[in-house]
Amino acid sequence: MKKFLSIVFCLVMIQTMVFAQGSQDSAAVKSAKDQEVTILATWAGDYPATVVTRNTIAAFSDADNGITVNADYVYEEKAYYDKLRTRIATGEFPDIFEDYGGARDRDYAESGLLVDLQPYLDADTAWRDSFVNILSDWQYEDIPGQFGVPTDMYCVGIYYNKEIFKDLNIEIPESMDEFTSVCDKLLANGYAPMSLGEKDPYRAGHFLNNLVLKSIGAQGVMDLGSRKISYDGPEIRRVLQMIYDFNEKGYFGPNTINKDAGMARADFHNEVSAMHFDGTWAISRIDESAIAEKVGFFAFPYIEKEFAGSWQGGNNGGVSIINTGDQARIDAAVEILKTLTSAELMAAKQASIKGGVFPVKFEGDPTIVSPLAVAVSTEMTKATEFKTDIQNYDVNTKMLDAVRNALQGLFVGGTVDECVQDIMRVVNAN
Amino acid sequence: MIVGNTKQRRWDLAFIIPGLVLFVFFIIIPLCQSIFQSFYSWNGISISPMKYVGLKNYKYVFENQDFWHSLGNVAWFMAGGFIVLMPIAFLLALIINKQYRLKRFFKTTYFMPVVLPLTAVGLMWVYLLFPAVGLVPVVMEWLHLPEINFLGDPDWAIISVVLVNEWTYAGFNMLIFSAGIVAIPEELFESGKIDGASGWQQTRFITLPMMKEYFKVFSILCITGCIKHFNLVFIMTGGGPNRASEMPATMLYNEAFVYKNFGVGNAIGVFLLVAGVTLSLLTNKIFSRGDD
Amino acid sequence: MEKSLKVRKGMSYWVLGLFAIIWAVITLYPFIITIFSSLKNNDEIFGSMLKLPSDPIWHNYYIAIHDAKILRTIMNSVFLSVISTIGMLLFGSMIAYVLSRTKHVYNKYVLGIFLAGIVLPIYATLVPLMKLVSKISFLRPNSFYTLMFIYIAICLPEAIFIISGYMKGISKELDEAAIIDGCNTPQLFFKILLPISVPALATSAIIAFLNCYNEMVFALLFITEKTMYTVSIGLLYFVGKKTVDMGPMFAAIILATLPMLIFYMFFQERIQSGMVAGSVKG
Repeated sequence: MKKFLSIVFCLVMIQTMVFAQGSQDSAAVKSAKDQEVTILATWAGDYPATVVTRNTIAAFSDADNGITVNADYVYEEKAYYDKLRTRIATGEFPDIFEDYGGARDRDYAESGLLVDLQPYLDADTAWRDSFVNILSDWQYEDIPGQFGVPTDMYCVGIYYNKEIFKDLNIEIPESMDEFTSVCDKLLANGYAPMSLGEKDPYRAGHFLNNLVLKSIGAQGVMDLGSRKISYDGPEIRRVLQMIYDFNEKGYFGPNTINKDAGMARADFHNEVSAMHFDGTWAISRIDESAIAEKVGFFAFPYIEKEFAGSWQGGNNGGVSIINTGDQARIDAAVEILKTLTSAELMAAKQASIKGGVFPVKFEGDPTIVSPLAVAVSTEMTKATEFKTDIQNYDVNTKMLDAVRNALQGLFVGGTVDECVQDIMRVVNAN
Repeated sequence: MIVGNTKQRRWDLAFIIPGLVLFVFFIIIPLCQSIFQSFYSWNGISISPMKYVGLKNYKYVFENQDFWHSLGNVAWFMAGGFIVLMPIAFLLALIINKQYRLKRFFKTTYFMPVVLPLTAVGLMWVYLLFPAVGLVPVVMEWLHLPEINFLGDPDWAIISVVLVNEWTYAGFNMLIFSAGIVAIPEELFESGKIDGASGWQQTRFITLPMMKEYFKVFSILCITGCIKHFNLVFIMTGGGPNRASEMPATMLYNEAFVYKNFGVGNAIGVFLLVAGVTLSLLTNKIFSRGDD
Repeated sequence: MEKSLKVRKGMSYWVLGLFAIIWAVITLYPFIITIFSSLKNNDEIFGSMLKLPSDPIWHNYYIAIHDAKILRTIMNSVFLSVISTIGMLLFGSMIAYVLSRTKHVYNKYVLGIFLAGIVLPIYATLVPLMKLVSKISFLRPNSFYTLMFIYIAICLPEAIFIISGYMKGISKELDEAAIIDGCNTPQLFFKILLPISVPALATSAIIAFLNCYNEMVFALLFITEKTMYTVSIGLLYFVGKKTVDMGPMFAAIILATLPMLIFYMFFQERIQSGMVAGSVKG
């Protein structure tokens, strides 16, 4: 026991030393008059673009601008939401928090928790006009106002292994019919055409987004959200049937329900699959992989030609300000938002990950961008309209989870009818 | 000590109070608030008012077929706990108290699964159970057993998680039984040996009856643990596929922290509370039969 | 004093021994996979997790130690868990003593309260608890002692059940003899009962340490200061929104499990000793 107690005392000593050090670090620098602003966001970890963001915030805080930033970064998604929800429920509000907008933040906008940014955007038109056209992610038909701005952007398409395509003499598919024949050819040659990784339910969720966008377009998505188009109508049944058929034919590879997104990605990197359906966040991972040189990118094949330009894309995170009623605090928070959406930061992010897509227009340096990132940007110029997750425009906040879970049913032997019933159960419960 | 003087009584109170105060403050008061909130509708925003809705949250929960399904999954967990976990943990406790040469090695390895973070354990089993290439399916094929997609088949997902759960916590519960075995006086076994009792007979007629209290502790911890189980299901299947392995606690989490229906979440919580306390008291009664 | 059941090496000895070895293999195997995985990159882990690393990446350990600062989080967690465990043992054994060795009318209710407290999933009480804590200025965020109070409260019921179960088995004549010898309650408790109860204390110490060491939700909510992160928060460093750095994460896991194993081995030895012959009701 004595031995044990002495260990404890040692620990206490070490601990006190560490903390004494820690508190000195943080307390000394700034004067007390500064306006304090707290941020809760996911910008932890060593992904280069988030490191750049973090450093920018730290530099902003240290600069002589009368504002001190208390940042709290939680990387993992569930942990982040646990913290965000708890802080909002207990009233320990951060001034700025990160989220995706849309249905997820509808309650917050509705209850008056969020600051309407429209007056601030109108007061600084250069700032307002710098955004690409995805501000609508934080707008609601029945609640006037702009409740957030995007800091990151993504779009979804298909990465492919150029070498395999060349060996098998495959052309890049543009329409869904061409795509299915590509898949058939790959299957015949022993490849899993495109591992999906449906253990993570967002995977088929994203696939459905694209099928819907490429068959009924952006307006169709809005109509689906407001129930002008029903989830048990022919439009949705048609694309659900496609997912069902693709899985039956083996386009998504074997055991797709057992694979998560990481395993699906590994299949592509290990050349088990020839194509990989994913967002632009995959670029830097592919660039790090062994097949970096062999990868190209094409748009998700269209179902109706008129909607070839409808892409899944939008914000991959943005920031909102919580209305604390203290105008000085809100003003300071707006300053930070401007920093987070500045062209300088976007350019620095681009340099750090050698590519990527961004929610703000800026003059990038094309020489530093990786070939794959260039291919993606070139392909993206063909897009005419972007919509993010289709359930983000839904009146019912439960739809995102409901649809994704129902889609999993298609991969474990469920029929399209059962899948539609699962979805309609949630639609009707509201 | 049945009769105590006033001084002893005061000491007894003084012994209880510090722990009890801490527990009441940090656990019981929030618990009461949670019961209270189950009769209100609230979107989880501190500036939004709570609206009294009576039993509506409960009605919503009980009319939800997924909820009844999740209670069925709790039943799987409990069945696994008593049929698989309890015998294995008890056997392991016997093993580490016998004179095997590898005793020390056993003691440490058996505890390994709980030392590793649950995320790592969960992920590892996803691979071990992976169809066709995972170790378990390979061994099963070798033994000519039918092919099962453990985590992908909605009928098997919950059973697979239950079995992984028992694997993880066998070493943990071994400790509880082990504390009981070392408390059995040596003389009992000596006299048993003189009477010519075999190893099995000693276990059956000496160890098991002396361990009643520990089986009771195990039962209560197992029941309460199963009712509130969250982590392993969340990590291994996320409640899927298609909600097949959803547990009441994962539903509670989703209602409160994803959909922001805190009232519904609390109603699920209150149901679990009532069910858990009832079952535990029942267990206590069963074990107390025939006591003084 | 080595305490083991001397059995003739009959059938049961060998059958049990075989089971012992099989179980050892299937519990050790995942640990070995974790070690393998700590030396691989994502594509190799996802592609062939169960195989030997083709080209060990020791750099993963550098990332875990240098970038994720996993050693500091381990130190924080060990400190937090040790103090919480000591507090829990003290409070828990005192309550267990009263519940198991006296017959007060309130015992039933005290037991009921502790039972009710362990049934509820953590997410049901999280928001009310955080609200309560935020109202009390003494319990500031970024303080280990707030966390310790909560950890002690969470670990109490399990410890009370285990320790009181054990104490019930200790002969009550012991108490009476001690009282006649002029012991008061604290003397009886600390000098006589506690030393006898070491196996139960060690068992609940291991369980409590484990629970505190791996606890995540409360640590996440209370700690924002990077220098104070605990292990479970430190491990989140590798998990991104749609990507995970598996290799360095497994390296960090290997490092993080070492203190726990040491603690376990230290206390596991204590489970074997203790019991004074003749002090148990037979």
